[in-house]
Amino acid sequence: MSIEENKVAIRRLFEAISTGNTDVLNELLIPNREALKNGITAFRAAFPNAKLIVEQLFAEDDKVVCHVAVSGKHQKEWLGATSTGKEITWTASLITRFDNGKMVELWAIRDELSMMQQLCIIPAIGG
Amino acid sequence: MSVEGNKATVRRFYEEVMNKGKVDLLDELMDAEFDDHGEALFGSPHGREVIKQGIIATHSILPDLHVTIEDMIGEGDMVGVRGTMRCTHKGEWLGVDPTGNELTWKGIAMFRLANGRIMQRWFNSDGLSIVQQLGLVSPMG
Repeated sequence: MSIEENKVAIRRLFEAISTGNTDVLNELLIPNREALKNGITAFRAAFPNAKLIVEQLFAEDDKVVCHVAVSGKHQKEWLGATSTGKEITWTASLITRFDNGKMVELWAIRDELSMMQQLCIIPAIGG
Repeated sequence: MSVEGNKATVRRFYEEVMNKGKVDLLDELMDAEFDDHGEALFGSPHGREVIKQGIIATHSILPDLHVTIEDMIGEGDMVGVRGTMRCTHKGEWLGVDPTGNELTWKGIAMFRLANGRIMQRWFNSDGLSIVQQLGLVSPMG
């Protein structure tokens, strides 16, 4: 599989997160596909209008790197916070490793500290 | 600059500037109008001078700060880095008195370079883990 095909697979994954249409994941080679689908469905329940913007996406050999900005209105329990109705934004950075077109490894850091501060679970620290 | 040249510049940023505190090297490695796109804890400073001052301040609190580069991925004018930061908590940080504890956290950063210089960075560090290790927030399940 080519670098460009790996990038397309990552864009499909983000499309599923952005729209909630997890059927697009059926064409992708992902371990634990059902768990991922359930995770996206739970996320869309907490943030039904969530939007994901891909700010950076590039690749070399078997890895794709990306940075995304996410926003959404908090409507259901998330990170221990009950529905706040707050519109919050955060970013995430991810590196995915592919083996023959299959997503086999993921390193991801999302700005959970910022999410928790915006949801008022913890006080403002840093920045 | 080639992808390999850009990777070498980013490696020098971590190994010489971040790890050894050679902030004057930034004049060579980073554009004066450098733009950061960070997260809640480290923020998004603008300008090489602000970065220099930030690194000097960080080294006064965390003098043995060491970034280990675990992976580098480059394409076009971009370089991605996955790293692990380790340090001893020796000065007041985020209002917490020095504990002498070893702190460790992970980060993923993406750099855009032009003419061999770092122009922009997008990153996430595991800020939640840092504030938990400092005892500011209880670890959650």
